Amino acid sequence: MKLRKDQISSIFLLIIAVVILISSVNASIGSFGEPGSGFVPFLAAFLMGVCSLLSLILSTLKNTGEKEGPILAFHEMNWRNLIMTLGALFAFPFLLRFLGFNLVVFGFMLFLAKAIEPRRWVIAVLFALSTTIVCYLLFVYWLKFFVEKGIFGI
Amino acid sequence: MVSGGESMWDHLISGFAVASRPMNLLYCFFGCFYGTFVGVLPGFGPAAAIALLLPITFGMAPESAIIMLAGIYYGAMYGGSTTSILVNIPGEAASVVTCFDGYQMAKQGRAGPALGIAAVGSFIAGTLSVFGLFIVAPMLANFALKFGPPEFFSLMVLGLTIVVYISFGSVLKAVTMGCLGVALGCVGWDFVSGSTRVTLGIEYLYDGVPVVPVVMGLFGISEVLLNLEKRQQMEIFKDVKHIWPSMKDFRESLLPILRGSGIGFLLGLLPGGGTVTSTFAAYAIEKKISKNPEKFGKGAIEGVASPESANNAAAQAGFIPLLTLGIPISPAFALVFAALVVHGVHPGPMLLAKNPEVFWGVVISMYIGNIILLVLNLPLIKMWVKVLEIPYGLLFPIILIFCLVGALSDNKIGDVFVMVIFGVIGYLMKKFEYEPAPMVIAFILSPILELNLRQSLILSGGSFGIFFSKPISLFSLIAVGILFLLAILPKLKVFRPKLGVDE
Repeated sequence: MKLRKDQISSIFLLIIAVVILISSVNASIGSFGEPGSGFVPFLAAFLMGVCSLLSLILSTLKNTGEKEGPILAFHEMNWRNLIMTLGALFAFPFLLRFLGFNLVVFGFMLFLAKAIEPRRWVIAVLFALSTTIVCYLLFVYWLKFFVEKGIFGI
Repeated sequence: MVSGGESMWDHLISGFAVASRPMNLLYCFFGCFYGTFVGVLPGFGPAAAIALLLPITFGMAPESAIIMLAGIYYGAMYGGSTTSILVNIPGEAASVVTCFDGYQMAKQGRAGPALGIAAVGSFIAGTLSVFGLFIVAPMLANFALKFGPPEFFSLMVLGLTIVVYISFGSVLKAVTMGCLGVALGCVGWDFVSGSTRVTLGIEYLYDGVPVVPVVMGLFGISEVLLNLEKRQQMEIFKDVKHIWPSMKDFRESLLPILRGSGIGFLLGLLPGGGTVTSTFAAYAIEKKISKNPEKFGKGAIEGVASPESANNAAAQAGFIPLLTLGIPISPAFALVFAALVVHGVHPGPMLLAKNPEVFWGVVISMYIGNIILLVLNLPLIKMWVKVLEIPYGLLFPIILIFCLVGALSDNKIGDVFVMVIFGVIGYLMKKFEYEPAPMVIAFILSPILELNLRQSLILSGGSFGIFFSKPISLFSLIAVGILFLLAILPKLKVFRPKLGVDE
C-alpha cells in the first residue's frame, strides 16, 4: 500500500505527540487545581495527537480518485544543490572550532559560489573574500560577537 | 490611566524626542532600507529578515531595537510592491494583489505611476495608521488593564484561532502546528516548579528551544532550499519613467487610498492575516464599488493604490495588539515581541506606563519611517530595480552566512544545528502543505499562555468555569467557537479565506 502524503505527515506528528505526552507525564501533570510543569505540554500534545489521528483517518478514508503527485518530485528537485547546501550548513559549526571564523566563512562562501552555480575562480574568490571581510567587520569588529579563532589563530 | 495622565501633546513630544535621537534616526533609516531591500527580493520575507538581525539588536537600547525592527517590517511592505509591479512576482505575500493591476500597468508602459502611487498610498496609509495607533492604543491599553489571567488566556486562544482560521490548507493541520508550537515553547525549565520538562534528557534543551534559530530556519533556510530546487524566471521591466503620478492618477486614487487605509487599519488589528487579508479585502471592495469594474485586472490604478495602502496600514496597526495586549499577530510581530522580552520590556497594557519611551518612540519613528520610505522608494527606484538583478547564486550564500552567524550570536554551536534542522523541517512543511506561522506564533506565546492558564486554574481551584465567568473571556471563547464552526461546517467552510498567514 502506498501512503498518501497526509498519512505520512500525520503518522510522524502522531509519534511526536506521543513522545511529548510521555515526557509531560514524566514531568508531572499535577491536577486542574494545581497544574504541574507537564500540564500545558500534555494538553498541547493531547490535542496535537487527536488532530493528527483525525487527519490520518480522514486522509485514509478520502478517495478522490485523483492520483497524488509525489511529495518530493524528483524531476523538480536539484538533489545535488540541496545536499551540497545542507552539507555545507552542517559542516559549518563542526569546522568552526577547528579552522576559526574567518577561514570557515571564506571556505563556506567559496564552496557555495563554486559548487552550486559555478562561477569563475576569480569571481568566486573575490566574492568569498569580500563577504568574509564584511562579516568580520559587522559581527566581530562592530557587534563584538565572540568567534572561534581555530588552530591557525585567524 | 496607563499613560500617567499626560496629554497627547506630552506623548507626541516625548515620542519625538526619542525617535529623533541621531542613533534612533539611523536605526530607523537602516531598518527601512533593509526592509525595502528584503521586500524587493522575492522569496525572503520580513520574518526571516527580522530574525536575521535580531541578535544585532540585543546590544541596543530597547526603543532603538524596536524602531529598527519595526522599520524592517513596514519597509518590507513598501518594497514588496516593486517586485509585484516590475516582475509580476510578489516580493511579499501582502503584495500578491498588487500584481493584478500593477504588472498590467507596467506592461502598458505605466510602471512609474504604479510604483509612484504605491509609494504615495503607502505613505498616506502609514501616516493615517500612526494617528490611529496614537488614538486607539492608549484606549485599548487602559481597557486591557482590567484583564486578568483568564481574559489574557482566552484572548491568546482567540488570536491563535484566527491564525488557524486564516491559514491556507486544512484546519486540522493548522491546529496541529499550533499545538506543536505550544509544546515546543514549554521545552526546558518550568520557572514555577523549578524543574525541566520535555527535554528528552538533552542538556542543551534545558534553556528551552531558542527562538531566533527556529525562525531563521523555518523562514530563511527553508526558503533558500526551496529556491535552490526551483527558481522562478524573472522578466524585469527596467524602463521606469514618470514616477510621480499625474493629477488624474491622484484623483482616481485618493478615495481608494483612504478606503484601503481604513480597511487595512481595521483588519491589521486582527491576528493572522492583517496585511494579506486587508489587500484582498481592499481590492475586492474597490472592484465592487467601482463604476468600471471591468478595468480591474487590466491596469486600473485603483487596483494598486487601495491594496498597497491597505497592507501598509495593516503593517502598522499590527503594533496595537502587540504593544497593548502583548499579542503578536504574525511571526514577524512575534519576533518583535521576543526582542522586547529580551530587553526586559514586556508588551502588554503596562507597557505604556512602564516604558512610555519605547511605546511613543516607536509610534513617532513610524511616521519618520514613512517619510524615509517615500524618499527611498521614489527617487531610488532604479537602485531597487538593480537589486532585482542580483543573481540568486550570489545572494543565497549571503543569506545563509548571515543566518549562520546570526544563530551563533549566543556562541552556542547547538543553535546552528537547531536552525538547520528547522530549515529542513520548514522545507518539509511546505512540501507536506503545513503552514509554519501558527507554530511560530504559538511557540513564542506559549510561556505567557501557559502562565495565564495555570494562574487561572489555580485562582479557580481547578474549574474551567473561570473562563466563562468573565465577559471578555466568554466573548473571546464564543468567537473561538464560531470560528471553528465556520471552518468545519461544510456549508460555512466556503467563507474561510485560506489566504495564508502573514509573515
